[in-house]
Amino acid sequence: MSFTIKKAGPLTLLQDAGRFGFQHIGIGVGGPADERAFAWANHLLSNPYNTATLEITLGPFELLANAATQIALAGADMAATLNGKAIANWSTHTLSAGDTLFLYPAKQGLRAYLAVVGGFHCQPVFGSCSTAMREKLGGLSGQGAAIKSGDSLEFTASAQRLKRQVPPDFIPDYTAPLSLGLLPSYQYGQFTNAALDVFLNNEFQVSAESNRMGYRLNGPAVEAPQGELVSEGISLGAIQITPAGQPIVLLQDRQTMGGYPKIGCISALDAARLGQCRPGSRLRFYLSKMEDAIGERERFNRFFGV
Amino acid sequence: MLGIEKVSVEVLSEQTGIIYFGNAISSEISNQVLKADQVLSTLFGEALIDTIPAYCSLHFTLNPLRLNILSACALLREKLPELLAQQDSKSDSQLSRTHIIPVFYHPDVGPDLNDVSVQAGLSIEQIIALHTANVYRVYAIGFAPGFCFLGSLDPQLQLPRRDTPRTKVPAGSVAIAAEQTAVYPCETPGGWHLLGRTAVDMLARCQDQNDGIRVGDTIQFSAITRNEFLKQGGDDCPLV
Repeated sequence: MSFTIKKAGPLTLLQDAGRFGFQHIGIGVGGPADERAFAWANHLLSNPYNTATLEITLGPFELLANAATQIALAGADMAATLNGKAIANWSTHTLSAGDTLFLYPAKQGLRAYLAVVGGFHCQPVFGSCSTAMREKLGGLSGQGAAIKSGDSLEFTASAQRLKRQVPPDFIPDYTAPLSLGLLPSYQYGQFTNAALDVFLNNEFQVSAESNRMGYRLNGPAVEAPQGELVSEGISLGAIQITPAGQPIVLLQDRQTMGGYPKIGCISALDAARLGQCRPGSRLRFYLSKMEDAIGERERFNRFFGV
Repeated sequence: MLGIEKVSVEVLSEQTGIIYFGNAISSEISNQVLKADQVLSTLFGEALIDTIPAYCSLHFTLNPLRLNILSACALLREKLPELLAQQDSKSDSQLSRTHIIPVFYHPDVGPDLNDVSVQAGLSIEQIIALHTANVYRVYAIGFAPGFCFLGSLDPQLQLPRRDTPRTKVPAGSVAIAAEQTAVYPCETPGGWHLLGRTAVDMLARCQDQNDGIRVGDTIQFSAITRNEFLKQGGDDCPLV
């Protein structure tokens, strides 16, 4: 049972939940840039949380189904069509052999997730199928390559034919103004009040030099503390401030360690919100409470069975 | 001995925390980090997702449904000094091996050699002599798979990182920043000063089950000619 990828688009990656337990030898976690949409795609199909899906960035994308199965779509709205007829995002769909699924360039949001019942077949590398391009690990080949046109994605046949949609209240609006919670940590206490004011009271714009490794933000310069820092482990969502005063929010494909001062972190679920932003998007930060981020995470993990 | 008052445990995010052992580089502090790593794996068991041991800090990630990060950090603040004292000194006496890494030092492959020469007030020959003289300890493996953080660099070579990181540093680049030196094992962005290049595949050397490079081992660099470098399979293509 397989899909043939007819059009891979600018960046389509096999992603499961991530590569856990190897950061001590420098192997990053990776995983979906928008964990929430990834989770919904698998949840709609009753797949286990850690199931390999396709993360389709920007689009267009096209596949041919060589066998009947069920898929789910979530994340960026790419005006999906099945054999030319519009189908809903945030929903399951049944495909028959010979069907063509087409995704147009994203209208809102940046990354769509395409899950299949039971997940795509892939030999895990360091315990995960997630594609780490910079590290050359994972993905279909195991060598970190993105999905190419002509690739064949295998899956196991299933008779499951669920009809499910994400309830409207849970569908995010990727065009809404984005406000990200700053968890004060790392070198937060070493930043001057003036620098914190600049960071918390101004709008920033996602730079074109943004990717799954990190999002660079354009805006007023945030003065970083003086002095060299010894390199230390970096959390998902850590916000580095470069000596030139530019914030960089570190995401899934970040390095495991770094030595620039960090003003704090955003939560992993805020990082998922940021992962749907395209260059030019505007956003702000507010001072957030650790307890709130923990609560949101616990609810998420319980609901999706993380 | 490291003063207990220097150990601090901090929450970083909803599922990560960090233990700081000061803000300096020493083999004594590095041994404390390795001990704390063992303590955490015993104490947190299945709740511990991973750790990142560094020069003077230990970053850790917890599964929030098994252990709340605030409770975990509170527990560590109370118990860690005692648990560290109890931990046997395996990491103090572990077998340490020395690995020799041949490097071709030249402005073609070390585009910051001239900059470093100006900033440090040293000739290129002096830079090479200083960089190859020290025996470096592997304090951490991170930033990229197989990226060994090595210390300590001769004080005469210590310079701040570049203000703007390069978006592409070629694999095998040998670099310095502050009191650290390293080899970039694969092409990646980076903010360090590039002195030269090696043909050694660092990730393969770290993954080697028998003779692999591990935290606590030592590394020494040796200068080689362009011909030797090319014979070893090196790529002397200058940075574009």
